[in-house]
Amino acid sequence: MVLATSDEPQSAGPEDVSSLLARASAGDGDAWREVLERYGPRVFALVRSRCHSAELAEEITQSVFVTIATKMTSGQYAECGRFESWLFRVAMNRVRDEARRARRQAVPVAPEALGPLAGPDGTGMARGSDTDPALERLREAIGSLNPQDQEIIHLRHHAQLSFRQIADLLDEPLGTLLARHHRALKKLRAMLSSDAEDPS
Amino acid sequence: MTRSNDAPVPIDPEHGFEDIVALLEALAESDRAKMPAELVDRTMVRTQSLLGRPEPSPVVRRFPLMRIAAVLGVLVSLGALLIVQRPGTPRADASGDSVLARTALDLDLLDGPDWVEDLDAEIAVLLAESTMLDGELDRELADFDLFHDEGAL
Repeated sequence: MVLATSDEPQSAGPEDVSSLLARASAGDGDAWREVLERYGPRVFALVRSRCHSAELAEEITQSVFVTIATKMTSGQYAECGRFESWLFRVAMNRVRDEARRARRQAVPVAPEALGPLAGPDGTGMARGSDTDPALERLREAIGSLNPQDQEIIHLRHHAQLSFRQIADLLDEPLGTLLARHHRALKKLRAMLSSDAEDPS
Repeated sequence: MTRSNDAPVPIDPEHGFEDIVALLEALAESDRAKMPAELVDRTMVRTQSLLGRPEPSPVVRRFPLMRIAAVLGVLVSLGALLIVQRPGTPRADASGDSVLARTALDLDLLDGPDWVEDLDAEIAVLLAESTMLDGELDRELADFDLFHDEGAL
């Protein structure tokens, strides 16, 4: 039996990542661009899935990499094979900061007045639109999960992290995480099946 | 050990959910592809100052000033050496002779006992005149005191 926890979604081997990060830390512009091109889409997809706004996701993604560059070039990060966990922890913290800021600045408005802009969490963040109806239904189903399950789904699939990395990032036991992910998938299947049976 | 209302959790939590996982991957891929291509360039611009110009240490920051100071020091030293080494310039030598004495020796002013005797005679005359002047000055001061005392009376 293959252990799902051992799979590493990242495209490059650890040695490759280490040398790339070492060069980027030393101020090599080409290496830093490669870091951005390799990890940028994953960070962007994770942030976008969490805040439901492309513009906000762009801003947060840039902010995350500015933080990473600052820490790396000032010697505050020592590469020990946990770059992805660190990167996505910074991204998740920034998303939480933004959610708190949005809640503080939110003006009470009736949800029906906001129409499609109203997010399910009341932050006024707009959801991304998908042309594929199946993907749109899936996005809505994910939005119906509790926040912790949503987090795991997004970290696993949008950020392409392994379960071990997610457990490290969320500071949770691996077994608990596997069970929660399994139950989240089960709920999604149930919701999508009921949608298929009742398209209205 | 599992609770009665929960099914055992398999080691691979995605086993049996390949259809849902495929949909999730398609959704994630769609979101990753939505990242604007220029986002990398904009981030490069924002981080350029951090990567291209690492924060210099205080010693490195002072280095240009130290270099300028060193160059100025060398120039001043060279100029001083050129002036001192110019032919005919009086200077002290290793024996401790003063510059004037060395110059006088160069001019042979001290070469001869006659000159020394003449010098002694001149010094004696000057000392005598000085004594006489002192005497005259004392007298003038005494006259002044007398006049001052009379005025006071």
